[in-house]
Amino acid sequence: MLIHKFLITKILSALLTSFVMMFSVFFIFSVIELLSSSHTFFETILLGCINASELLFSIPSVIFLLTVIIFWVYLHKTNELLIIRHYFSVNKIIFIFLTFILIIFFLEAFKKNVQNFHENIKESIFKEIILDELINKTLYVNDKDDLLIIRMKNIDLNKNSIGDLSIFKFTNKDFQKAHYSEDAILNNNTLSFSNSEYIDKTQIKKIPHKIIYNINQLSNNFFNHDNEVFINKSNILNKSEFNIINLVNIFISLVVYVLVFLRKDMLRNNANSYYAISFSFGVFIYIFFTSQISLDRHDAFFHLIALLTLITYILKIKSND
Amino acid sequence: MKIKNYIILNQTKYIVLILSTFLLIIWLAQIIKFLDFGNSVSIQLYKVIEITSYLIPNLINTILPIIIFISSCFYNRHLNSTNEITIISLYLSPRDIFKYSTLLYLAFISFYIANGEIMSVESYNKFKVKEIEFRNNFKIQSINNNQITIPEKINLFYESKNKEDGSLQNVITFIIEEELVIKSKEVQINRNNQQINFTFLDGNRIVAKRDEKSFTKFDKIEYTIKQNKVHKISLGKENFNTINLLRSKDDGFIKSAHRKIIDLLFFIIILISSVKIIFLNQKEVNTIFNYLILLIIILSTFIIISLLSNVYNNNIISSISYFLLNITVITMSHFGLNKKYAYT
Repeated sequence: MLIHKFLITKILSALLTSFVMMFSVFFIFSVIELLSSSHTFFETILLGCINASELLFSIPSVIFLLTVIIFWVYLHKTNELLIIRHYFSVNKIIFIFLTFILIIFFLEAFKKNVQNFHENIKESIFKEIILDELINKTLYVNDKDDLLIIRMKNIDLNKNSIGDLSIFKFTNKDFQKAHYSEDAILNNNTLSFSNSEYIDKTQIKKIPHKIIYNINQLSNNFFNHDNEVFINKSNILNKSEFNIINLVNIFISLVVYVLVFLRKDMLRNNANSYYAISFSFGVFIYIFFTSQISLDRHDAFFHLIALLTLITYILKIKSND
Repeated sequence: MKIKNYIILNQTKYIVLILSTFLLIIWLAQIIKFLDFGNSVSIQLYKVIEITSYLIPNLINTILPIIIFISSCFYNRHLNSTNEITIISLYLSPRDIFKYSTLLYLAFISFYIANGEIMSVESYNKFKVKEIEFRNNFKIQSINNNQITIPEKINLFYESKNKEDGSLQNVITFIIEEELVIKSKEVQINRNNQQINFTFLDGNRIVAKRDEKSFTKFDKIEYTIKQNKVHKISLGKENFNTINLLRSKDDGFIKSAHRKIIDLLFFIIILISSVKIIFLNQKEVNTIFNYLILLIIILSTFIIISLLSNVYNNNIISSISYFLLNITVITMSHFGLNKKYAYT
């Protein structure tokens, strides 16, 4: 039990060190980038902190990789790692690491949400600046067989009003209807307008009564800087964002980082740290780029090859141990 | 001599290793920033890697001071955990260390100046040219294999793609500038450097905007998106070295040169302190807590320097006050960083 405690303390200490180290570097980098902007000093420091945190969570695997490296540096020179390996098998140590691996894995899986969270903080802080501008936006809402194209011009965020609103509705790629209004109101996730003009395949007419459209995530996308927003209601687990094989690859790569530094030859006093560090960064870059690439054909097969590469490496380490 | 070489080699090893690690991380973060997440990146990836690589020299000077501090902490921990610090203290006096460190300081300062004044400026100029070339290219993104987007221009949602001629079948198109929706059975796309031609076959044209509301059938419509090329490179302060910035008539450029001088001073102070951190003998002291205090001092100094730059840029203080205040802050931080050291 004592060794468990010792290991967890050391992992936490390494995690904290890597976090503080990376945050400090990113903070300095962000503030220097922001110094030439027109923000006040307080805004610059605040934005610097948010940007540093955003940068940090845009590649969470690196936090874990650095944690493993620092953990190894902490325990290797004092031969504590050798003693731990004497009592614990690799599997047991990985099991202890599992909580941290899962945290990083979820951060990787929901990276987009973390990114949006940062964007929302920035937007809520700097909302006043955005509120003064009239903006245009186009929303594409996919819901099973339906596609809505919503073009909004002259949006006044102070009044929540839209100067020109055009809505086109398609079902099964077939045109159903279109609306145009010069007097639309945005309220949370609802678009409402009256005195609109209606167009379908057979007629164009005026409609005096009120029409309401409910669109999920509509208000979330109003204060961001994107002029075009794609909302996929039926497929939240978008292929490009949430590729299952990619996620498995990320999870296994996190296990590989631990294994690289727990190999028997890494316990020796004259262990080649350069090889281990460059190898694990190689794995990181490989996974980073393969997860970014999406092929028109054989996409799953391509990502499966990356997965097989990692599994082969794990088996190699296991057999050598 | 051997022991001095050993120390220099190891210290440089730590700096290079940590610097490369952080450069790689920031570089990857920059690549992510350039690419639009969730889109196909095959066209952009190589170009983005090339373009962002030109920012690396600039990046090195930005993060080098904090990297030197971090690597000194790691090296100090290594020396303490292996008891090498005790052995070194038997062979090297503080005076010897001062001599060897002067050499090391000079090497690092020369690198910092050469990188900041020559390499960074040259590579930033290349970055600007390549960035404009990149911007002038069409950014065609394909999302989910059933959607093609040219940001701010056009969006095509299609059912299938003809493998032989690449034409799209059963397509809904929204042309943003025209506020026009086209539903067509087929779309053919022809592309060259200057423009992209879309040919829509057999479909409906739907318009719902202020000056036009219509629904019309058509056999064939052609639409062209021309490339708006930007040829002019706007020069910023990063495009010039300190001497050229000082010679400039632009007040902002001169202030930026002054900031560069203060950054160099800050870097020198970090270098001086780093050698003391390396030889800190702290067997019984809480090392992590010590490093944390030092990090807080460095970050606070950096924030105060930034505040002074902000105040100076807004013409609240004169250049003499800017230099005097900065020198005071940097000297105070130097004393703060030196307070806890003992080398025995």
